[in-house]
Amino acid sequence: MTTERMAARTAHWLRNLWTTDRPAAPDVLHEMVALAALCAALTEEAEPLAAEVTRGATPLDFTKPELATALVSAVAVLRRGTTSTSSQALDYLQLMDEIVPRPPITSSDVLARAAIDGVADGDEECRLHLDCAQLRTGNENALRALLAEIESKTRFGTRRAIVSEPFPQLLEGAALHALSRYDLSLGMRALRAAAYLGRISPAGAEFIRRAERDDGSFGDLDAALKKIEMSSAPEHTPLRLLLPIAFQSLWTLAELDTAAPFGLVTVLFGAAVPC
Amino acid sequence: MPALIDPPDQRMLLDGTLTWLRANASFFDPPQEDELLDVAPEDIRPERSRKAFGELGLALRLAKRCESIAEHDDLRWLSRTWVETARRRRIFFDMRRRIHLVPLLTVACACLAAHGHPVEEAVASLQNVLHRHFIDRSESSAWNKVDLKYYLDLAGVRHEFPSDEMLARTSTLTRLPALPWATNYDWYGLTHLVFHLTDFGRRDLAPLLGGPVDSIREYAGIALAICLARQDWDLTAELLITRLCLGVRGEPLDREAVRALVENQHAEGFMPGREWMASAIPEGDASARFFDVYHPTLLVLFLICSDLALQ
Repeated sequence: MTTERMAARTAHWLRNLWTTDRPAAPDVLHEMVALAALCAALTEEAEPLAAEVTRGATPLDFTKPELATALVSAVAVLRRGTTSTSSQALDYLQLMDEIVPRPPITSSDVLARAAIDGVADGDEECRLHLDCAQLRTGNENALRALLAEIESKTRFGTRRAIVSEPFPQLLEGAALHALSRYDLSLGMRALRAAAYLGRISPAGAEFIRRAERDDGSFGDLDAALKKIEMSSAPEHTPLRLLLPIAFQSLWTLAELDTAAPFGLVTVLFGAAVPC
Repeated sequence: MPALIDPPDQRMLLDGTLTWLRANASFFDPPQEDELLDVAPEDIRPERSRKAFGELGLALRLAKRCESIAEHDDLRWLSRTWVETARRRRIFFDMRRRIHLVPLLTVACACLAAHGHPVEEAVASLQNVLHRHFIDRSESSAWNKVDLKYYLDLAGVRHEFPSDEMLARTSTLTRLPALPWATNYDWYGLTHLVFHLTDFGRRDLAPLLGGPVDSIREYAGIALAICLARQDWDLTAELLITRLCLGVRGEPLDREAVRALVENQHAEGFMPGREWMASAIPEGDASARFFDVYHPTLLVLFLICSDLALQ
């Protein structure tokens, strides 16, 4: 199944959520907006849903969700939202503009600057000196530090990377290792980083495609969802788990899709916002 | 072809491995097989001490084929000790009824023959067992059949196993299990099939499979990268040898894997196993440590020998 078709299925799932579960899920409105925007970027079929969700998602507090979700949803709201929500999104991005260094330093800075300043078309390249030994320390923090470096130096895949072999191949191995342990977030982030270095993992893409659920969401999560069901903590809701996984799954599939080259920051952020 | 392992690394790996093997030779000790047991011979299983002994024999057999290291003092001592142990423990005792030991005893025949020791009597017993028409007719995987067939052929024992072509084409080599879900068992299947079908790199696998082996090389490469991330040095060595047997030599990934082995070889000379890496071996439990580390340590010797033999 193509990424476009999977995005359409995810959009269908999201539409059902939007129709039936929205009142019970005010805390995941940003995640819904971000996912709708991503679906719309991957399939025109989802554009009406993205418009509806973005206009209907209120109230929004962009300081609450994790950074990528906040940025994607803020830019989506600026493009499709109502006057009042657009004003909130603009306030948030202006605040980020003040606090995020220019030029950006960390991968979070890079993401924020891409959302605020836009991503120019260009043919820039970057040379990375990455230590292969860090990929066989068994230390997840070392892996995360490498991923942040790759995201930052390649500007999330918008700069062509020059890197010595066998680093990309080893990174694919680390990604598949994380996926086989069902650390989806780390595994998919590593797959995307490997793609930024020019290494597309067919095995990784297949893993994500096979993780699609019948309803269009992603992940073999019966046990995790059962735990959430049994938890008394109000912040533990199934959608807090399912929405980010769906976002990351589609994002990763899109970055790994050789038939239709993507680039989240290029496609979703594009031009600069008027800060 | 150029060496995969640079000479200084090879020396360090080899010296460390042989030093540790010699220091731990007493652990490579099968049971006294002619002791009378209160158990039916047909129920006697290989168990780990017999397997360790057999695997040491295999490593020494391969080393014997490498001229440049065959005369190493420690290797000669280990080979002599292994042969003496085989005789002292009467490993072929009652072998016609100990059917679960047939694969290990076939290996032992090949190892003893490689060291120039007569095995006619044991081979005759094996032949008798094979003539009973169950060993080569029982249900088992292509992997198990290829392994046993390889050593039966070496020992000169006649059998009715299918041809290597047939076994290769019905094995997982033609449809390898998807990498994210593949288990260690799957990867040991891959490595053993390649070891034996290629005669440790001396024979081209492509004609047996009826097509190119590029996808198997690539698969073994990604599996190797996964094992490096897992710090699984046992499968790292197995997959490195597999890639050598498939004609991959000195690619950056393989050199990185060798670096990982060099860096992780313990000061005593052994290569840490999975339990060791997980810090799961009880303090002071020498036996638990031995059975965790001996296999990856032997694989380092296998790797060195494969690298030397295929240059």
